[in-house]
Amino acid sequence: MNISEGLFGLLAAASILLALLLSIVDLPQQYVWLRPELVCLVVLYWVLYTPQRIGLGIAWLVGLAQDVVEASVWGAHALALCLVAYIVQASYQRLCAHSPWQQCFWVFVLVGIHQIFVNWMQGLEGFAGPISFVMLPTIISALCWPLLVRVLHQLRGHYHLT
Amino acid sequence: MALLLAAAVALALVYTQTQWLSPLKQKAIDVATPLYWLSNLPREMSAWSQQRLVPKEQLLQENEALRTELLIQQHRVQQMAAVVAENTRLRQLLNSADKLENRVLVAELIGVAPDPMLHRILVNRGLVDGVYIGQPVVDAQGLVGQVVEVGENSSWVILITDTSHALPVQINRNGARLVAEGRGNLYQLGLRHVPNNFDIQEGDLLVSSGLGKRFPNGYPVAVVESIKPDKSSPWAEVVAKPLAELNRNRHVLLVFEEAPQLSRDGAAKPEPASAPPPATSTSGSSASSSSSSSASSAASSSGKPPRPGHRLTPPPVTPTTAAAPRGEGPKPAGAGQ
Repeated sequence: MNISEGLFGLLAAASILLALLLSIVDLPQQYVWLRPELVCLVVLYWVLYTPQRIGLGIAWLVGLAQDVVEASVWGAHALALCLVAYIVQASYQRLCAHSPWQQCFWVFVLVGIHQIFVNWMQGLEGFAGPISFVMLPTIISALCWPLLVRVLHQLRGHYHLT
Repeated sequence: MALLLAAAVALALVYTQTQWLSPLKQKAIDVATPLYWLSNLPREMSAWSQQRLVPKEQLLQENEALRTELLIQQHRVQQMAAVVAENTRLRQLLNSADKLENRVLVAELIGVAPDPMLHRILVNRGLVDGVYIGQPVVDAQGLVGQVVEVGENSSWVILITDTSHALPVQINRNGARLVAEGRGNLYQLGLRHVPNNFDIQEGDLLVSSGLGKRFPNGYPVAVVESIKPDKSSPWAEVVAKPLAELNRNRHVLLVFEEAPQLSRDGAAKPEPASAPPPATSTSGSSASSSSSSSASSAASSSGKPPRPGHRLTPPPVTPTTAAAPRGEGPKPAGAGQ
């Protein structure tokens, strides 16, 4: 049980760290609008499928780490991630009943909320993104969701983690 | 839940409205740097292999081309020495302050802020190299931006195209002063408040005017790209294209402003052309803006009469130019942050 918990923590931390790394990889200028919100997706996954272990506090901390790394306004991603984690936690039983493809629509809405709140907080420092800046990464993120679920499900199944 | 959300909002307010978090921000850069370094590793490796795995002929060819270019540049630098001396003498005649000589430090780009609306880059120089907040950053083509946050070994540089950035510029042709602001597009700078009948043409070179006291004057900034007179408003819509390769450069130069290193007779010291120190070089002006610096300094000094209370004796050759008069009173520093 203890080993399994340690493994779970390791897998969750590794996946979040990898998502954080991929979110700062330097992309060519014309593709920079297509970057999926990977950190948000990974946190959504863990909150959705293991709500007893990953909660709002961790989502908040991950968001703060993302703010620190991405040099955005501190608290922007923390607020947005905490908010979507709360929504998922309130409705994970219904969400889990859907197939990953059906969950795409939920994820679209959730990542959209995330983007809007991040954008709103960035506005405190005078930045304002056009609407495509909110929409494009949201669509791409929703399309990435089934793939992410598949990969993380396989990893969890491989190590027998619940 | 509500507590966490309130904490996030409070943190954001403290971050944007106060200076309390500045020491933490500095630590944050040091935390983030290894991650950027790690994310940059694949690119570093591909660059390394591209450098190592090339045919010999190609290397020889490149070597030849670089030698030719070096010869041309050295020829220009030779002329620069005479021009700098002449410029110093003329400035003494005009009773205006000497131009600052700039020392530069080469910095390598290790990361780019992932948010497309946030035009910031992370460079591998920090407090240990003497980098300070507000330090101007240039590349071989023109002005890049300024340092906004400094960590131990790395710092964030805001680009001139960021939406929160603006800088005072001058048209090199006639010395007219304008403000160039970032618009969140790497290929565009907007010029605010240009009257419809203003003397500005497509292709005009904009150089930094030094009026914001943030950037040294005479660095090329942008070229005017399009001018659309607007009959319904007093201002024309003018767009300029930045000269610096804002999204293609891998190395940038951090500019340190210093008093000029001139000898008594006003001639520039001979430049150590061979074997410069590994990272720093003492010839900022010749490295970056050899073509425009003399012309722009003439333009900037001609348009500004000496200050009324200015003494008439010629200034010493190496004055403390940090507080030197720049003709007009302090303009609102257009530089954001």
